[in-house]
Amino acid sequence: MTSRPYPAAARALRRVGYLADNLLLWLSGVAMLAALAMVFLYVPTERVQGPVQRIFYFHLPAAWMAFLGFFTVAGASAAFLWQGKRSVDRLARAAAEIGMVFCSLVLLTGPLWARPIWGVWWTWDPRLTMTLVLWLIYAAYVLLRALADDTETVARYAAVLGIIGVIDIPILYVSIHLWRGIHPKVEPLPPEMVLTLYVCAVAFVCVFVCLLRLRVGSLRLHDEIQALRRQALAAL
Amino acid sequence: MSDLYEFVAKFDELSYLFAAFSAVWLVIFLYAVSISRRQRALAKEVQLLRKLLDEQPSRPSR
Repeated sequence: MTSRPYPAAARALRRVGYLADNLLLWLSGVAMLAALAMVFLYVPTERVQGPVQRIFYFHLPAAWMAFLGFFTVAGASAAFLWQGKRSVDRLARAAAEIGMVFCSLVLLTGPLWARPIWGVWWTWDPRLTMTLVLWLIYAAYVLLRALADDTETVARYAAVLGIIGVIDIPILYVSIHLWRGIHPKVEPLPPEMVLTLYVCAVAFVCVFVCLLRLRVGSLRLHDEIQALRRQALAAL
Repeated sequence: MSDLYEFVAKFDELSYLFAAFSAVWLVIFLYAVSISRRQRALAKEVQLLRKLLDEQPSRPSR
């Protein structure tokens, strides 16, 4: 009787994946609590802006995670166009959604900070405008994937959009230097603020990876269902 | 009177801070819940389809 190592190995891998997901979930929870504690109990209040400045500690990491998500889309899309593997397409699709979540958080927290500081909810400042453009580009990507048929052609069109859209990010990044605007520029921060910012960034990275793994998993299940349905139809 | 004005101004700023943090938690939480729900529904469908395929009688060979 021949042995079949692959099902056992697959089961072991699934168990490791399940444990890793649980560990990541707990780590995300602890990291977010630590971030909250540092923002409200540790970091000093900024002298000029007052308590509302603390929004910065979530606003900036949210922007970093949005960039991470969209760079992941671009990388995975390029790999998909080159290799045609369904798994990288799933990664691109999931990363686009997660990137959109964080980009939406940037566009939510920004105006909530701007209203008491600038006196307006929104202004057509270059950086704000480019962030909105970025949100619109990837909203188009997510809608394309959600509403069009799930075919290879659509995936390829979306991959091209995902790659082109990422060009907005470096433009957004240098916009405060290229054009005149009122968005705050990067300035040296005291050590307590830097530490708090980094703890928040780590917390957001954990949440990002958690959400990405969850979403990739659900897309994989969706593909499995399609394959099983085709199998069931063929067997009839 | 100036103390009251200061209190109202600070309360106003804190309400924006509260709104921002609530928005962050709410958006992340709602998205995570929506993915989890979809995943549970998909996992059930996978089990059902596998069960149906296992129960299907195999076609006789010609």
